[in-house]
Amino acid sequence: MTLTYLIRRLLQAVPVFLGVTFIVFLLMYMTPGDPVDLMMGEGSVVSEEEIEQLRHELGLDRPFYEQYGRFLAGIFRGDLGNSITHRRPVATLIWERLPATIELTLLAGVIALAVAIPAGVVSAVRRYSVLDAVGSIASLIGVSMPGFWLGLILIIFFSVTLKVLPVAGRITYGTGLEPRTGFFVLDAILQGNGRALVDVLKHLIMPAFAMSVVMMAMTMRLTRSSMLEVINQDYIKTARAKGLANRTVILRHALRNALIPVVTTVALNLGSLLGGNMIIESVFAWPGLGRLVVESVYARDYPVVQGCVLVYALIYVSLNLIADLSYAYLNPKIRLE
Amino acid sequence: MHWRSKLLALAVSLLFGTLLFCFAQEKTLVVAIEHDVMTLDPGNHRDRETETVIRNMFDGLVTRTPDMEIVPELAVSWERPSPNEWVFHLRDGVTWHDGTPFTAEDVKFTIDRTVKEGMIAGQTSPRKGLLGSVTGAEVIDRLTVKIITSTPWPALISFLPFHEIVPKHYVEEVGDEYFAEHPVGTGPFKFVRWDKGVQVVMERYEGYYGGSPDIPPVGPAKVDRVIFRIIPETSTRIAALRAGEVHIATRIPVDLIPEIEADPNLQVMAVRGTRSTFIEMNVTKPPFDSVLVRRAMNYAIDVDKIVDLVLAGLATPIPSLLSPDSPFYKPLEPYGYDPERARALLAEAGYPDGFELTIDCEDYLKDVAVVVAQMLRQVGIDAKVQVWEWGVLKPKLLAHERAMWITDWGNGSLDPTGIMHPKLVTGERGNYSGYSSCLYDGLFEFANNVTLDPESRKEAFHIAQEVIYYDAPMVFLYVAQEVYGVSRRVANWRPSPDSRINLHDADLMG
Repeated sequence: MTLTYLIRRLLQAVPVFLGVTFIVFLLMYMTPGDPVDLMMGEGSVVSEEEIEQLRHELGLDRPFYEQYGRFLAGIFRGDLGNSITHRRPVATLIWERLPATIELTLLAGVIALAVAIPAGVVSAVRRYSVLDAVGSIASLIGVSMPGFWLGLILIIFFSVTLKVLPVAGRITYGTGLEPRTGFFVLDAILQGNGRALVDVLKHLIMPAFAMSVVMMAMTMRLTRSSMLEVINQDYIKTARAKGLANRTVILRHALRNALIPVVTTVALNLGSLLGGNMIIESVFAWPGLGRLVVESVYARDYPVVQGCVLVYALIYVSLNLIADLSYAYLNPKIRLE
Repeated sequence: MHWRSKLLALAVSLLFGTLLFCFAQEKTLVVAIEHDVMTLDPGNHRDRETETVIRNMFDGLVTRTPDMEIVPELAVSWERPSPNEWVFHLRDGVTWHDGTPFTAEDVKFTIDRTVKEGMIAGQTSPRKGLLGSVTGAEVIDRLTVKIITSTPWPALISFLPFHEIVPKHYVEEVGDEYFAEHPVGTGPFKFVRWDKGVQVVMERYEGYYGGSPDIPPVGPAKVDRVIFRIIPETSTRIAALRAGEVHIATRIPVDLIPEIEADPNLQVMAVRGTRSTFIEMNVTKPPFDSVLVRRAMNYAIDVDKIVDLVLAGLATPIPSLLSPDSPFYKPLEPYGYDPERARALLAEAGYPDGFELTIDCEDYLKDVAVVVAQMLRQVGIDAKVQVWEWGVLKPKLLAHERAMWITDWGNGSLDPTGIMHPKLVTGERGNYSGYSSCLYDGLFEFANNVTLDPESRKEAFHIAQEVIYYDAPMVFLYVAQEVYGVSRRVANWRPSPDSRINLHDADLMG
């Protein structure tokens, strides 16, 4: 039953992808601005014929349906085309950048959950206490704080004033790390390179924290309200009546049930973290996918933007699916049909 | 390996790594640039940052001094035996970073690769346009090469600093794609690694021939290592400078200068760039089809005040299109601010009560546009500002649908061919104003395709500048300075108008 469900969901994803590719392609096609024009720049001696020649080489002089058709056909061959400005395959560019983004997003997610879930539980259990009030205010600030601003404040405090963390970037030259998987934490551990590991973590911590704040605040609010709901259920009263220790009641009986809605939203939150990290990546000079997208939009580098959006869509759809599956796994009352 | 022994190895390497780090006393100069290089192949990009990084690993036939004078580099001398032929005599004893000697074959290979179609992994070099009418090159002997043009193209020397010579033997052996990520040049630094989106690292090439004798000191580079770090966000670049992580930070906006000046370890260095800013008018339609109205605009706008108010004084007013750094610059007296005269000219042209006007610009020139609108209102013109995205505005300009817009045009070669030609010769790709003058077009034809005498060419460009000065198809504004934040530890370096960061002579103190 779960298998048929899985297959059905995967099949449903196909039209979603086609839709995404079409919309992105259409948007980029209709956006004013010409990549060749932007690339050729000024101060040179270029004739219209030479510009037309370049447009022709890039296939930009073809009608919309033909360009889109080529793009689609390329996807099925695993070929996302060549970047106009980087003049290399888009798939290579994405492959170089994706691990950095995933690494950052995962750590941000871990930080967010490690803080948010205990804080949410405490807020719920000690409802209306000082701790609860502090938690509420903190989460309000967390949701409303612009990531850009927080990032700069962190940099100025920890890097410029205290000089304990690197300002930006992903790794310092000279640590001897050889990027293999592209996940630098993993690479450092696999190569037994402690110095590189420390360096990579130092670079990771500020952007990951800055990125985690919104998710942290939202998850904390959700954990709190979900806990409050569960605590008043009859089975919790029964558990208490049986004389179980408060700790056992909260952690084993209440939290496990309260986490069900949290887990599903976490998966979706991770998806939006991936998409929403362009600003954080820019502030911290993090060499991820978000920065690649922003730079490519400015340069009207259509193939790169299309390729990146496709990858985002793929990740988002997968996370969505995982969220649905985990929901059923955590709550046996829910059956997938 | 068992996980425990792995953990132990981790701990031990951690300890030794820290110790090693403390004893290393090499000089590493770090430059923060705005975005990653597109490629490390000098022939396959049209990007300023990429050019800046590549120039430290590759040399050209000629280069420019920090004062923009063109001097020999890999060439020692050149002559022009016929209008369409240039013969270059090359420097002996130059080696590539892999030790192979540099020869005329490499120059021919580079020129052909740039101007012929489909030569770089099947693609045509986007730098073809920077070689004008060059059609190819021929090897005469080991150290002599001939560059051939289809028409006499005197601007060749002005454009040659943009072309770094690439190694024939190496590119043919490893292929274009591998070369683009593992370059081998003849420059002062040799390639070490490129962490995509993070940094490009290079080390001093001990076998360097020393560089152009016209730019002393001649010899290997002073610092052991150079790292170009990519930091897109301006505030982060400044933070990295203040934290001592980088020594030179590019593209500092005027409003953030005080932040650098407040730090005793840093200094601000500015240099006049190569980008001219101006106000264009649609000369095909009223009111700007009248030369009187166009001159009135030039009198109505107080350029000095704009430079002071908006650019903190960091710009040079220009009387025409060319930068004062160009060897072809004609020092004319700018129109100057004279609102009375502007009103009188407007009345003479039949607009005693002015007219309604929308000034178009992109967001980065909005502050200038607002001040300009205010000045035009002073002479009775009902002016307002509209901000556009360039991709939307440009087609409208080309269709002559707009009346007045503020924009700029970069001209790295400083030759009039790079700016006065595309902007104002009839029907050229950058001629949005619709300006057309037989005299002006004829002067360019004469200078670029007829005369072989450098003095006559210069004279023609001088007259061309006077023509547009009097015809006033534009309000000529200024050439802005480019601002760098620089650590006080950096010695023997100053910014260059063409925005290159040549680190051959730079040193790091303390």
